[in-house]
Amino acid sequence: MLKIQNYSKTYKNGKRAVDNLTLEIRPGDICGFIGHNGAGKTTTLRAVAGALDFDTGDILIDRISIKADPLACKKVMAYIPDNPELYENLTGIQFIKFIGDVYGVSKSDRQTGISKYGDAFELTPNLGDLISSYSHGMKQKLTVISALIHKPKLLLLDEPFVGLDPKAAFTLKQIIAELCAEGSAVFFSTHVLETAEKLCNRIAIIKEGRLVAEGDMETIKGDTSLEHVFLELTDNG
Amino acid sequence: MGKLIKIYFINTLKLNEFSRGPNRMKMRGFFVMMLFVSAAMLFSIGSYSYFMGSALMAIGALDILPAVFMTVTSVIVLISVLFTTKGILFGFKDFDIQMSLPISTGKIVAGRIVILYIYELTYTLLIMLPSLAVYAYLAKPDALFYLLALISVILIPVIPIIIGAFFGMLLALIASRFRKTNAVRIIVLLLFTLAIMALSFSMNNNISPEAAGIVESLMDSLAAKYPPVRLFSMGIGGDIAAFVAFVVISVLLFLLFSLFVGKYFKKLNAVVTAVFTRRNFKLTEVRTSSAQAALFYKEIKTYFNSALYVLNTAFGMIILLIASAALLIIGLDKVVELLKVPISSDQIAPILPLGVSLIVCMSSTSCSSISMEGKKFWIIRTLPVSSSQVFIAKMGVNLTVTVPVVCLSALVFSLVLKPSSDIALFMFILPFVYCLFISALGLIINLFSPKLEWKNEAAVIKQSAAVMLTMVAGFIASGIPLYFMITLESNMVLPVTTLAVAALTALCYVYLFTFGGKKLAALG
Repeated sequence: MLKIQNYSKTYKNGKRAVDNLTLEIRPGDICGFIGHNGAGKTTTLRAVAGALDFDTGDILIDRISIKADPLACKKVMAYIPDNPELYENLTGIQFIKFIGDVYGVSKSDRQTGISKYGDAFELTPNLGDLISSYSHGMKQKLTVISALIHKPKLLLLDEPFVGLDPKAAFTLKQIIAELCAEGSAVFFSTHVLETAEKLCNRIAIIKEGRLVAEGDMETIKGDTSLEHVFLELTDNG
Repeated sequence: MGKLIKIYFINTLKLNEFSRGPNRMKMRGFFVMMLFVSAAMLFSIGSYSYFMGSALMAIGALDILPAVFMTVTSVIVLISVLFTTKGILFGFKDFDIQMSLPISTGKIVAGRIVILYIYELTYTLLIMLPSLAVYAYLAKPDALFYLLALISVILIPVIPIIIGAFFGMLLALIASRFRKTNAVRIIVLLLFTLAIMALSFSMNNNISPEAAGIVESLMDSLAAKYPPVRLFSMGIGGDIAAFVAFVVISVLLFLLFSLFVGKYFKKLNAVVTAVFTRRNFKLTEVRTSSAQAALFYKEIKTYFNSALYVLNTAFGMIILLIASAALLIIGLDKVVELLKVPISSDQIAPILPLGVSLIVCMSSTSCSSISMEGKKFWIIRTLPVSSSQVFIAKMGVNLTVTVPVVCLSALVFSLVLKPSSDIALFMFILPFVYCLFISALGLIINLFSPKLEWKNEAAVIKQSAAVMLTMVAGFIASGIPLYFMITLESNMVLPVTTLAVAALTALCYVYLFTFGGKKLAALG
């Protein structure tokens, strides 16, 4: 579903944020992406989402290069940033409608999706209010709902559990598991290693822009915990 | 307090980027451009002051010159504060952070007032310095004038800031009680601005035609609308009592205002930033539309939900609409009589297509439409929409704002002024071509000069390089043919201009739809 091939990104100031990263995520995978602050997680996720140009390598989504046909790639995925800045002057329902229209979601799918996810995240009563009145967590929930209504084959999330209340975090984990059971893939960054350990079947660890470990969760952590492996690789590796 | 102000300006003016970071060359270029724009403004105001001063000197009324410019400055400061109170004084983004710091509320309030003052003092100096220099050159006053004028100029923004901030707060308080907050803001701000304009127009009335009494007569007219102007004028003229009164009143009002804001700072902030919520949404039928329509709808919502955006870009269109309505309802003779401009239908009709085009060029919404995405730019970057769809939606807003008004005014002008058929045709065609032109040109300029990092939308709508460049380009593109139309009175000006602008427009569209996508993708 997602193939990152020798991806590198250097910013204008000369800083190499990501260096020659190669990674593959198959349909049904839940892949956690972990690393210190500034390691290159967001830079990678933004490039996959098509929000950031990159210098070398390629990123294939559903076997299509994001460089060659960005629209086709974007059609099948959804991106949820860590701090979702939304159109504050739209109401929640207008934002979902906007996303639904852009992705060409049918009326019935839209109705079902809004109803299902709106209720699951307890946001339905607030959908008629302006986004400017939403808290950080509510904006996060709205972004998740709008991402889910078009049933993405690849869901990209940057620190998805930050700002969500415990119930919403639990709901999101369930939905992620459901999505993957239906054949979608999920790639998300997190600092919460326990969540990654419980939720993911795949893990990728990045340090200073370089991938230092990648593979099945069980193989990577072996008999120890993910936290132990992570600290071992990032502090001593 | 000093630290808060320093931090604010380092952050807002991006001073760190100026000396370090990858964009330092771009920032330095922008600084040079701003210097150039400021120099051009100083020169323009100086030239205008000189012509006005020479004319006034000829009728023995030169002493009124500083008073006229002081009134103009006060009006500009007042309107500017009205728009920026919410954002600088109240409802600023780092309110929570500042209030949580171990700094007294008084110091935070004083810091915000000083920031507001510094902004308005900049406008004041840009207008007052050249006009007072011209006055000094023509009147040759004694040395005391320079000292009194310098102190008085520094105090000019104080009273309009207080009036503007007071109305700004009142407006925010009223608007926060409505669900359609921005619609209320747009209507009230528009009415307020129109009221100030009407007041300025009415200034021409009751002025004595006698040269000997003209200074007093003009002063009476100005002081009737804005009393401090008399004290200012008398003060810089050497009347120490008037000067002291102006200084004391300004300083006293400033202190009272600071105390008032300080006392109610938290309460006012809470009310101003309050948002209307219902929390009773029930899902009914959800309608669907095309991606292009959705993008356009999003742009229109963004536009009409910003009072500042609407009033800065649609003001010319609103004036055009009012002028058309006035012409239709009361006729040309009465309008001419009201405006005291002796002009006939035959004289005005050929100029109108270019006159309206000039207003169209000053009404570009697209030149800030990309910058307005700000931190939300990630949304269009990650959506499966092409750059062409994004451009069409953004230009669509510009055309929605301008084309209906242009067509309506052309219809009214044609009916009322009864011009020849070819002039009537150009009344429709030429402004329409300019609508297409400025929509595309504004977007291209914004692509080359985006400002995506901002906290207050005024930084994009009023102060961004793209807006200034588009206004200058639009002014040149419509002003030059207008100048030729007035001076040459040739029948060829309108058709030649139409063809030239149509060709430029075609080039702009070709550029946008072939290279614009790459430029858009490289942003952010």
